[in-house]
Amino acid sequence: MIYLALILLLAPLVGTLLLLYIQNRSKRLSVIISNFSILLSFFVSIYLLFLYFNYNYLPETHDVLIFADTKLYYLAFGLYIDSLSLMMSTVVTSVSFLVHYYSISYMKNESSFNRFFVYTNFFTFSMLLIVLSNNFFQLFIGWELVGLSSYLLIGFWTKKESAIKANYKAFLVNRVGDIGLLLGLCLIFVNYSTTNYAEVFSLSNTINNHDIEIFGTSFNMLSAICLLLFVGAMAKSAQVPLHFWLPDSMEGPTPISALIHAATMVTAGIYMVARLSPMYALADDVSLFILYIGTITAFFLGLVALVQNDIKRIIAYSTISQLGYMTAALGASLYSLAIFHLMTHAFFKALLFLCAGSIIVKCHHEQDIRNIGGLRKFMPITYMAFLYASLSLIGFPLTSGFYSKEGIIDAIGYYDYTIPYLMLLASIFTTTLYTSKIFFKVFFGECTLHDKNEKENDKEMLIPLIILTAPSVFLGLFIFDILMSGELFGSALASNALVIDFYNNYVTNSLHFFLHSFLTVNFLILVLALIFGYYYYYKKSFNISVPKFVSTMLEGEYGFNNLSSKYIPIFQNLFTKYLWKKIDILTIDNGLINNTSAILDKISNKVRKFHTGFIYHYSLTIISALILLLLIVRMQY
Amino acid sequence: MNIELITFFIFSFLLIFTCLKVVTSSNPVLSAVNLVFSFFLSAVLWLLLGAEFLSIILILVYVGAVMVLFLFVVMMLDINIAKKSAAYINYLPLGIGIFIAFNAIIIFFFINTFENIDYNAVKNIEIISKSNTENLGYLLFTKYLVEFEIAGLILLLGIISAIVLTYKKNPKNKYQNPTKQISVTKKDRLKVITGLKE
Amino acid sequence: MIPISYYLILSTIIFAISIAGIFINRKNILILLMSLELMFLSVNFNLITLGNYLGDLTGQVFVFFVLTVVAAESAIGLALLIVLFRNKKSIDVDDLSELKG
Repeated sequence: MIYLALILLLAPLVGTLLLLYIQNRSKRLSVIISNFSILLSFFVSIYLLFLYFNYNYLPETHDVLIFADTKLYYLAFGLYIDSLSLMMSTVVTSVSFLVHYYSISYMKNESSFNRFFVYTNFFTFSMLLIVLSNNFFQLFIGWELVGLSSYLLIGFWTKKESAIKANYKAFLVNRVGDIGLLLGLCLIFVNYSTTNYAEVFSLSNTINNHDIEIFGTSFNMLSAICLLLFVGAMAKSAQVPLHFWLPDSMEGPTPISALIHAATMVTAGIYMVARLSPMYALADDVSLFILYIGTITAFFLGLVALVQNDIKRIIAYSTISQLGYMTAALGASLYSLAIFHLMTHAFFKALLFLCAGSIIVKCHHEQDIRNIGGLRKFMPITYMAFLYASLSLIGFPLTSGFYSKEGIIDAIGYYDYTIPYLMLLASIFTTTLYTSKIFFKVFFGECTLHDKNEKENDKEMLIPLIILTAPSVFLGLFIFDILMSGELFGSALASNALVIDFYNNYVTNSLHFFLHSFLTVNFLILVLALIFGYYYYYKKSFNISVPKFVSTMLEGEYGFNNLSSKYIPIFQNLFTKYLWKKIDILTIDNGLINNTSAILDKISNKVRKFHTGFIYHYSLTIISALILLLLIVRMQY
Repeated sequence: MNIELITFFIFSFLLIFTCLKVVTSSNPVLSAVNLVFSFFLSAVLWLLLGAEFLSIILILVYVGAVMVLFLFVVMMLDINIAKKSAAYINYLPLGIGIFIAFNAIIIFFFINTFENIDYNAVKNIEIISKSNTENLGYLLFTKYLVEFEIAGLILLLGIISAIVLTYKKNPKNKYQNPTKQISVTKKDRLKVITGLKE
Repeated sequence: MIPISYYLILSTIIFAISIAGIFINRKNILILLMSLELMFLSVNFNLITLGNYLGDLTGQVFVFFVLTVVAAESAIGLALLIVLFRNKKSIDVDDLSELKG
């Protein structure tokens, strides 16, 4: 099993290396290598999943390669194989493969075709590194590599200025999170003196009683660790204060948005918290914080999506909002629901992005939805795929999104988190609204295509859409029962009892949940929003004037854009100028370096006068030193 | 007062006097001759200490070889002695000061260090005969053989370095340059000249 | 029997004279070399005296080696002197200040 898992992990890396080797020699070869390597790891992960569940394997952890084995610390490259990591790697590899396949056609006119596949393969490898790692050290490495490949892919079009700015932004914001993650790792290392997950989990109960002092106030050690690690997750998973890199990262190629910024990389934070759920389950205060962060993200950033006009930006904000749902589920200790939503979301959001990519290609890289319209007749397959993905996104009954999202909302309601529950309900409305906005504007209304004989895109671009539609719609129904009854993840996630309790008392089974949902307020809100969207965006039968300050606030994205593009640079300029003038020039250049040399110069100018070059002067010195030495020795007696 | 002590005093005073002459005389020939005298006198004092072989060696090697070498050099170098006379007067006070200071420290501070030494402590050396030369030879060729060989090597080194330093190349002589011979290339040996008209 | 201190004082005086000679003499490197010979002489005196009084022949063996080294040293020193005279046409101590900083 461990060897199969190694193949699963290393196939994309080998692909990367081969792609680096072949350079731009042959497009065909790069396509074959990149797709085959991902396909291989996809099959391996499916096979592993099959093995794991059919033969009831227990979770395994292996140290494959030991870097350092001393009394002080132990660093190793290892794999952790259990249902969670296998499910996650299946999601990653499947979405990754479909995106790869889609990219063949999408990127066919790019000059640096090979480079694209190098990056994506490398990204898949680093994501799998996070997913399969059995220790924090490897997690951190994978985390950084994911950040790196994301940086490279956002700035894939190196000549596009906005792309370069966006990848800077993504990289820097992720650095902020990484500091949190790194500090958390340091605390773990100091306290547990191990980096292995299993050992840390077994020790976390004892550490729970320890305190740490920061600036005179004392915190619970475990809470501090969890909080710092969550800061890392916040940056990766685009939660509220550190979310603003994600909309900008849409400057990259669209398949990348589908792969990285919707389906996989942004879920790394969610996955990490779920992976470390035995720790987070003990830190109640941090969980509450996570819950609120998630709810705020889900609601307020869903609102921003309403005023955006760029198709990719809308979907990006919707991603942030959906990640907010997952985070809220994590905060409410409903880890398996969060992972469930993560999986369904990965599929339908990838599908949405790939549809958006098709639309963008068809409209000659026009991304503003005000200038797109009436595509239904020209792109029937894309239309259907988009329709199903949207239904899943808004949580229409029986779709995947319905089971995962309604599950989260109802469970949060069931456990009496009132404010989060209300905010999540409200964000159903916004979600439905912005989805219907895209949907109606893009596929209905006046046709904007100049050539009336346009047809659907290439086969390569359509097949992934069709394939992705299946899990987007049916995955939820398929695994809902076994997931909710705790059979799927078993001991991999903590606090299973909460979900099982919710399942037994509220849901009972998937069919019942489906029928029951028609009676809930969720469905009412959904239908209301659909009707509203239909009349507002499609029929344009009425107009709503929002207050000025609300619209400016939403369009300015709550000032986060200004924060990163205006205020922080000003502050930074002042700070770095201060550093340059006071520290660099005054202290280091003049103070340390020039002063040292000047003092040495003075001293040596004085000293060199002793160097007369005459033998008798030297011997006089020697003799007087001898006489002094003798005197000193004499004093000793 | 026994004869030993009288001899010691006479020769030691003469020794100090000649040493002073070595240092202060303005003519290097004179000081060299005085140095020869001082070696002779110290050879006598060494005899008093029972070091017969060394005192003979001092006269034979030092006076016979090294001091003659000194005299040779003095004669070889064409130095103007006349203008050097009485130059040392200026520095005499410094010299005297150092002399006194050094003597004072050594003599008055350290001389009583030796009074309480147990002289019999180290007398376990193997003495094979009454002759000093025989004993010394025995030691040199058994215990200190390696050091003896090294001393020979040092003398060889002295010879070679003295020759190398003073060797003067005569431009009239013809000799080979091995370095140049080794580093010759094909081009240097053969030069093909084309395009010459007859 | 002559007390050991007499010999030691004698060697000290010779040593001091040769040190003073280095300072007094500013005109001739030859005399400087001669002072060095005197210094070695006084050191040899010490070695022989103490060896004699301790009843140990090692002191005399050491003097033997010192004599060898001094012979080699004076040969090299004189050779250097000749080279110096060839180059500078002078053996004046005052002219030798190439080590000046």
